[in-house]
Amino acid sequence: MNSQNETAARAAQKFGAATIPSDTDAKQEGRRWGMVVDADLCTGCQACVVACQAENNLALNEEQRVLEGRAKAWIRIERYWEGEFPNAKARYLPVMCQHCGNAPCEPVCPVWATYRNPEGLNVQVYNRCIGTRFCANGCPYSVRYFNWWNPEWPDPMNNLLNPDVTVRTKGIIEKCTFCVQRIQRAKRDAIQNGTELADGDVQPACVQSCPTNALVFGDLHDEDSEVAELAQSDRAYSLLGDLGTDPSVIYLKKVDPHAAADAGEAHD
Amino acid sequence: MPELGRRHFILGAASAVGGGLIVGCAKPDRESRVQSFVLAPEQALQGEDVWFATADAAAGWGNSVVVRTIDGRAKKVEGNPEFPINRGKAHVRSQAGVQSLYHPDRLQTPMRRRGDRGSADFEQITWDEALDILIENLQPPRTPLIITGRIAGTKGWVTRSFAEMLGGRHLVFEPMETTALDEGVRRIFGTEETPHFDLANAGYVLSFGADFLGTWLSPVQYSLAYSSFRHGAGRERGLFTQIEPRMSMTGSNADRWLYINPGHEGAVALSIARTIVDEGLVAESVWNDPLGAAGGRQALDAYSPESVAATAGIGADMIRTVAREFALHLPGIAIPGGPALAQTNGADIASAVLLLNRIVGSDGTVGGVLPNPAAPERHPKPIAADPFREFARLASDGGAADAIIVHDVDPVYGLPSSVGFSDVISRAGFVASMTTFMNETSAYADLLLPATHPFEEWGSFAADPADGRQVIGFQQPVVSSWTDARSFGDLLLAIAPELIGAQAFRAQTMHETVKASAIEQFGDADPAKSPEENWVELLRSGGIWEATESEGRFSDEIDWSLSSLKAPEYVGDTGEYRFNLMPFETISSGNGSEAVNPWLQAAPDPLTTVTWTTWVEINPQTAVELDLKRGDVVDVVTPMGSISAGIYESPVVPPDVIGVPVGGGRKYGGRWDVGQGSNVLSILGARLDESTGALAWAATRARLVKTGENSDLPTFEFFDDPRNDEGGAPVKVTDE
Amino acid sequence: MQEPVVADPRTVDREILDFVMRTPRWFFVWAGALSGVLLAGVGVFLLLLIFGLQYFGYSHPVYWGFPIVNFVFWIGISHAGIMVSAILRLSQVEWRRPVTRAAEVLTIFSLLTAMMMPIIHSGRPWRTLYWEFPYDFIRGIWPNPRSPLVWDPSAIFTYLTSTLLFVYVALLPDLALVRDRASGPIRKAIYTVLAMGFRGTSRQWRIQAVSGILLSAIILPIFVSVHSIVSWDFAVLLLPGWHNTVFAPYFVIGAVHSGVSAVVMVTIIIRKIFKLENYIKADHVDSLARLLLVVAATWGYFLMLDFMFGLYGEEPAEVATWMKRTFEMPWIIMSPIFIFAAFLFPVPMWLFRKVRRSFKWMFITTVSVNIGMWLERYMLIIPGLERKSDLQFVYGDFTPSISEFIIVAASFALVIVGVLSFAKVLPIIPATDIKEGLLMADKIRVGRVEVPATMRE
Ligand SMILES: Nc1nc2c(c(=O)[nH]1)N[C@H]1C(S)=C(S)[C@@H](COP(=O)(O)OP(=O)(O)OC[C@H]3O[C@@H](n4cnc5c(=O)[nH]c(N)nc54)[C@H](O)[C@@H]3O)O[C@H]1N2
Ligand SMILES: Nc1nc2c(c(=O)[nH]1)N[C@H]1C(S)=C(S)[C@@H](COP(=O)(O)OP(=O)(O)OC[C@H]3O[C@@H](n4cnc5c(=O)[nH]c(N)nc54)[C@H](O)[C@@H]3O)O[C@H]1N2
Ligand code: SF4
Ligand code: SF4
Ligand code: SF4
Ligand code: SF4
Ligand code: SF4
Repeated sequence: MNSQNETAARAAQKFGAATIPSDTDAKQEGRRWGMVVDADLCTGCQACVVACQAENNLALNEEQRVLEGRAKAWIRIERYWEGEFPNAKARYLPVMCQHCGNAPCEPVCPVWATYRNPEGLNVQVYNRCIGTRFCANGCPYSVRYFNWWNPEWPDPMNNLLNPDVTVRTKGIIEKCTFCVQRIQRAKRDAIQNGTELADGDVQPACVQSCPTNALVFGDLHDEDSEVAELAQSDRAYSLLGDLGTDPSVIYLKKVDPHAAADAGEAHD
Repeated sequence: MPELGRRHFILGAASAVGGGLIVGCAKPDRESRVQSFVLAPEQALQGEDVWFATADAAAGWGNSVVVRTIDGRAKKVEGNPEFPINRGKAHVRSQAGVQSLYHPDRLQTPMRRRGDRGSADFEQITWDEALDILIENLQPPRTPLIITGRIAGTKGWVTRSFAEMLGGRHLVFEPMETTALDEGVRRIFGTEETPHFDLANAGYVLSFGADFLGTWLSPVQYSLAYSSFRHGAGRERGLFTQIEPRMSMTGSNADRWLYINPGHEGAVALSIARTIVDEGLVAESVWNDPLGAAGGRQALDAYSPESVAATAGIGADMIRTVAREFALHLPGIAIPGGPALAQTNGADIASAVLLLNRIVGSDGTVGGVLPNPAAPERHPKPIAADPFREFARLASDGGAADAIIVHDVDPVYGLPSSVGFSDVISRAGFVASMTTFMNETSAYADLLLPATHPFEEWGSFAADPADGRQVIGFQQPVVSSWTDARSFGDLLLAIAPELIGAQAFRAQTMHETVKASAIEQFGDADPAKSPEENWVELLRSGGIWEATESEGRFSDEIDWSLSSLKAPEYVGDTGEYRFNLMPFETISSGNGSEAVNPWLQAAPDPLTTVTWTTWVEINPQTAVELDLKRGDVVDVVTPMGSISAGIYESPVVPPDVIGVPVGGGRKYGGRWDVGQGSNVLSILGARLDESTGALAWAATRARLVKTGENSDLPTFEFFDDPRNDEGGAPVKVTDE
Repeated sequence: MQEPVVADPRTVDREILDFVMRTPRWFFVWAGALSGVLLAGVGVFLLLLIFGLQYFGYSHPVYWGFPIVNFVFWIGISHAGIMVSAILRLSQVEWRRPVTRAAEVLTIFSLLTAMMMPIIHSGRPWRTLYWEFPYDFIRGIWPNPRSPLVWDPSAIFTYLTSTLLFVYVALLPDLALVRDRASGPIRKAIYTVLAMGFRGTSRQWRIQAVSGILLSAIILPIFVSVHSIVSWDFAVLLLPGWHNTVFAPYFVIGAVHSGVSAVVMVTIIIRKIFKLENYIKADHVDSLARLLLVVAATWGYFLMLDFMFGLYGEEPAEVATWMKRTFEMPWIIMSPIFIFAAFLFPVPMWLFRKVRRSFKWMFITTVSVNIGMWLERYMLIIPGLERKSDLQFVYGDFTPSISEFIIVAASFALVIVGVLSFAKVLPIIPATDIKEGLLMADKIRVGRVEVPATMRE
C-alpha cells in the first residue's frame, strides 16, 4: 500500500497533478463487496454464465474440454436432484468465488498471487501466479480454474475480447473476480463525475444479466445497501458455512411450501 | 431492486447521423499510468466504451439490448435498462449474439451454385453479379415465394409488401410454432394480439407446459415478472404449479410439478373449472357468463376429476387440490404452452386453459390476463408463423414454385423429413437463400447471399407480447460488418425498382425507410424537439412506449364450445412405441438456429447440464428396466424414422416419456455445430391440429433400440456420486 | 551379533575402488537404457512446458496427481540417508559402516529428483524457479511465508545442504584415497582439489570425526521437519482425508519406513553389482531388517491412528472419504494391495531370521514396501481432491495419463543413474570407514565365547 502511495505521489509531482484520490481513502477501506444469491429466484437460465464468459474473456468450452472436466465457468449453476419421480425436484445453486473473509486459498499461495484486497475481494494476480494449483485444492468451493493451454479464438472472434480483462495464458489459475474491472470503472466514473459511489452503481456482469434478480451485488459494510439488508433475511446462510471461510457471498434459502409434505406424499 | 440506471449509457446518437461508428478515446483529465485493473488508480486511462441500443438478436421476443463497443468492435450485450419489456436484462441467447456476429464461419460473400442442387458446391461472385442473377430470375411471370422466420417491424412490412406487389407469397416458418395459442386467444379473448400475462401481480400461476422462464414467448419479461411474483416488495410469495408431460426448466421452478399424459391438459383444465364451479370457490356471477358462452355449466359434467384422472395421469384429489389453491390465491393465471399446444387437439387445449382465466375472473384484471394493443402498420409485431399445413401442402401439391427466396430460416432442417420439403426446394425454378450461416435449405440454393447479423442492420419492431401497452423498439447497426453482407431489407429495396417500379418503396435503404416511418409516426414525440432530434432520441433509448400500461377489457364474446374438446391422437401406436417423444427447445440452442454459437453450445442445459450434443432423457427406473445407463447410445425410432443419441437418466422424467432436445444434428453451419448431436425434428410424425393446421410436434410416439455403444455425455455435473443420498445438499430449503 | 569384515586394508582399498578405476561393459548398457527413459521424461517435460499441462491427467477439481505423489515418495526415500547415517552414527552402531555412503548418496539424488517434481508439475516452471530464489529486493516482491510451498523449499534446501556437507565430510578420506590412486592428470587434479589436502594427520582425523558427529546432530531436527512440512502441504487445507492431526508424525515415520527399505534395496543391489560380498554381510541386512521391524510397527500404528482420528471426529466428509478410499473402485482394489505390500506381507516376514538374513527375500520385501508406500501417498492425496466438500456437482475422478507414468519412470531412472554415476567416480562403500571398523574390531570374551566387539572412540 505504502509504496503504491509513494509511487502515486511521485507520479503526481512529475506530471503536475495536484491531488489524486486513491484507493486508500479511509472511507473506501471500509468496504466489503459482497453478493446475495437468492436460491428461490434462480431459475437456472444460464444468462449469468454466458454473461460472465463474455465479460471476462473465458476460453471457449469446447466439447472435448467439457468431457475432460476442464471446462471453465467462473460462475456455474449447480443443479441438485432431490427425491424420486414423481416427487423429484431440481434445485439450482449459482456458485462463484465466495470471496472468503477467511479464504483457505490465500495463505497457501507461495507467491502471493492471490490475496485479500482492502475492499474484501479475493484478488487473483495472474502475473504472479506460477500455477502450483495449491490454492485450487484449498478452495472448498472448487471455483478456481486452471489454464491447461493457451486460450485461442479464431479470427475474427477475438474481436469481442474485453480489453478491460486480461486474457489468461497457460499455466495459471483464474477465477471469478467480482468483475473487479467494473468496480474500478465505476469508481473512476464516480470520481470523474464528482459523485459518490452509490449502491447499485457496480453491477458485475452476472448480476447485471440475471433476469430474476436472483443475484444482488453491493457493499456489505454499507448498512443501507440492498445486500446488507438481504443478508439480514431469515433465509440467509453461507455455503459450506461450517468450514468457517466467512464468505462474502450470502445465499438465501430456497422456499418450498411442500418440502415437508413431498417427502412422503405420493403423486396421486 | 435498485433502479437499473446504467452509469454509462452513451448515446447512439452519433451513429444515427450516418450509421458510422464512434471510436471514443477521450483525453484523460489528468495524467495517468498504466496499471492492472485489480488496483488501478481511478484516473487511469481506459479504452472508452460506447453503448448502442438496438434490437435483440432474437427480435421475436421484443427485447431491446445495448451493445458495448470499444474501438468499433462489439464487446458485450446487455439488456437495455430503459426498455420496459426487458428492463436491462437479456436472455442467454441475446448475450451470445456478439459471438455469432464475429463467428469465423459466417457467409462472407455472395455465391453461385456450381454443383448439383443440394450438393452445397458454390463459387464466389460479386454483389453486382448476384443482383443481376436475382433480378433476372424474379422477372414476371415468375412470382416469388419468400420464406422467412418471424420477422418483425419495418423488415416484416417491407417483405410482405414486396411479396404482395410481385403477386407472390410470404410464408413464415417456425419449427415449434405457437399457432394453437394464437387460435385459443382468438377464441377465448376475441383478439389477434397475444395478451399480457401479468405474472408480476398474480397470486397463482397455473401453467400447462409453458416454458415461460426459458423459451416461451417472452422469457426475459416473464423472468422479471417472476422475480416480483416470488419476492416482490409488499406482497405474499406467489404460488406456481406446472402441469406437463416432461419437466421443463420452468417446471423445475414450480412449487408443485405434476405429470400429465400429453394431450389431456384441456380435460384437466376443464376439470379444475368444474371443481371451482361445483365447490363454489368463485362467485357464480364471475363464471356464469363465460361458462355460458362456452357451452354452459352442464357441458362441464363430462369433466369430473375422477373421470379425467383416469386418462390424464393426475389423481382426482390432486385436481381438486390445485383447483382450490388456484381459486384461493386469485388473481391467478392459467397459461397453455409448449407440448400442451402441440397436440392434435392443441387449439382446444389452449382454449380450455385460457377459458379457466375467464371462469375465475382473471381476464382484464391486474395480476390476470390483460389485452395488448395492436401494432402500427409500419412497425408490425413479429409476423405469426404460418401453420405447418401450408408447408405440407407445398410438398404434397407436387407443383413447383417459380422462385423461392429463403431468408435466415431452415425449413429443410426444421420440418419432419417425411414431409419431403427438400423436394419442394429442388423442384423450384429458382432458389435464392440469404442467410448469415450456411444451412440445409441453402444447400439447395442457386444463389447464396450473405445476410447481416441483426447487430449490423436497421430495423424496428413492436414488442410481442408487450406488457399491456404499445412498445416499439428500434434496431441500428452497432458495428459495420466485417463481411460483405447486406441486410435482407436492403436487398429487397435494392431490387424492387427493377422488378416492381421506382415507386414501389419510397426509400432505397432500410435506414431511410425506418427513419422515415419513425419520423412520420413519432417525429413529434417530444414537441419541444425537432423530428430529427426525436429520431436520435428514439435510437438512444432504443424505442418508444406508452408511459403507463393501458387498462383494457376483452370482448365478452367466446368463440368456442367446450364440448368440442377431443381426445388426443398420436403418431405410432402405444403397443409398439412405448414412449411419448417430447422434443423440447433448450434455453441456449433454441430450435437449432443458435447452434452455431459455441457459447450456447457449451451453455449447460439447466436440468441435465448436458452441453454440445443431443441426449435422450429417460426415467431412471425405466432405464434400469431396459438395461440402459448414462451415455449408452440408443436409436430413437418413430414410425417416421430414427436418430441416435446418448441416454441421460433424469429423475424428473416420467416412465413412459422420453425427452429429446431440438437443435442438434446440423449438416451445415459452422465448425462448432456441424456433426454435434442429431435432429429430432426430422423424425416427428406429420400430424396436425385439424382446426389450425399446426404441427402436433409433441404427439409422436417412439421406442428405443440399443446400439450397444456408449459415449460419454459432455455434462457439467459430476456423475456417479456415492454421497448423493447422504443428505447435506448445499441448497438449503425452508418452507417459510 | 556382528560378523566382522575380514580383510586387510589394502584389499579393501582395491576391491572398493575397483568400480571407480575400471568400467565394466554392463555399466554402459544400463546407463544407456536409463538415459533413454530419462530422455523420454525430458521430452514430456518440454511438451508440458511448451503446450501447457494439458497432457497430464488432472482435471477440475483434482489438481494434483502423480508428480506430487512422486514428490512425497522421493522425499520419503531421502530420509534413509539421515536415518541410517546420522542416527546410527550418533548411536555408534557398528554395522552401519558399509551402508552409510549408499544411503547418503541415495538421499542426495532422491532429494534432487523430488525437488524437480513440483517444478515439472507447476504451470509456469520458469517462474517457479525464480520464486525459489527470489532476488528482487528492490521492489520488495517476496514470497508468501505463510505458504507451505515456501516452507518446503526452505526445509528441503536446508536438508540438501546439510546432507551434502555430511556426505562430503564423510567422503574426505576416501577422496584422498582416490586422489592417491587416480591416473591421468585431469582426474588427479579434480580429486586433488576435492580432497582439500586431506593427508590423514591426527588433527585432520579429529576434525573430520567431530564435524561428522556435529552434523549428524544438527541434521536430526531437519530430518523431522522436512517430512512434517511435506505433510503440511496437505494438512493446512480443509480437504477431507488431508488434515488429520497425526499427519506430520505419520508422514515422518512413513518416510523412514520407505527410506530404510530403500537403503536395504540399494545395499543389496550394490553388493551384487559391485561384488562387495566381502563387505556387506547377512549381518548388516539383518540389522537393518530389525530396525525396519520397529519402524514398520510404528508406522502401522500411525496408519491406524490416521484412520481412527478420521472416524472419531465423525465429520461426514472425512468419513465419506474413508469409505470411498476403502470400498469404492478403484480404491477397493488399491487399498488391499497397499496394506499388503507395505505391511502385511513384509513385516511378518521380517520376524523370521531366515528372511532377515536372505538377500533375496530382503530385496523382495523391501521392494514390496516401496510399492506399497508409493500407493499410500497416492491414496492419501487423490481421494480428498476427488470429493472436496458437499458440492457434489463438482466432484471429479482422476485418471492418470501416459505422461505421468513417463515422468514417474524418468524419476526412478534419474535416481538410479545418479547413484550409479556417483559410484562410478567415488567409492560407494566408505573405504575409510570400513578400515576404521577393522582397526577398532576386537574380540571380547563373554564367558567361554568370544564375541566380536568394537572399541569406542
Ligand atoms: N476447539 C479446540 N481448541 C483447541 C484445540 C482443539 O483441539 N480444539 N487444541 C488445542 C491445542 S492441543 C493446542 S496446541 C492449541 C494451539 O493453539 P496456538 O498455540 O494458538 O497454535 P497456533 O494456531 O499454531 O498459533 C501459534 C502462533 O504462533 C505464531 N508463530 C509461528 N512461529 C512462530 C515463532 O517462531 N515465534 C513466534 N513468536 N510465533 C510464531 C503463528 O503465526 C501463530 O500465530 O490449540 C488448542 N485449542
Ligand atoms: N492438521 C492439523 N494437525 C495438527 C494440528 C493442527 O492444528 N492441525 N495440531 C497439532 C497439535 S498441537 C496437536 S496437540 C495434535 C492433536 O492431535 P489429536 O490428539 O489427534 O487431536 P484432535 O484432532 O483434537 O482429537 C482427536 C480425535 O479425538 C476425538 N475425541 C474428542 N473427544 C474425545 C473423547 O472424549 N474420547 C475419545 N476417544 N475421542 C475424543 C476428536 O473428535 C478427534 O477425532 O495435532 C497436531 N497436528
Ligand atoms: S471461494 Fe475459494 S477461491 Fe474464492 S476466496 Fe474462497 S477459498 Fe478462495
Ligand atoms: S496456482 Fe497460482 S495463485 Fe494458486 S497457489 Fe499457485 S501460484 Fe498461487
Ligand atoms: S511481473 Fe507482475 S508480479 Fe512480477 S513484479 Fe511485475 S507486476 Fe509484479
Ligand atoms: S462477479 Fe463477474 S467474474 Fe464473478 S461470476 Fe459474476 S460475472 Fe463472473
Ligand atoms: S441469471 Fe440468475 S436466474 Fe439465471 S441462472 Fe443465473 S442466477 Fe439463476
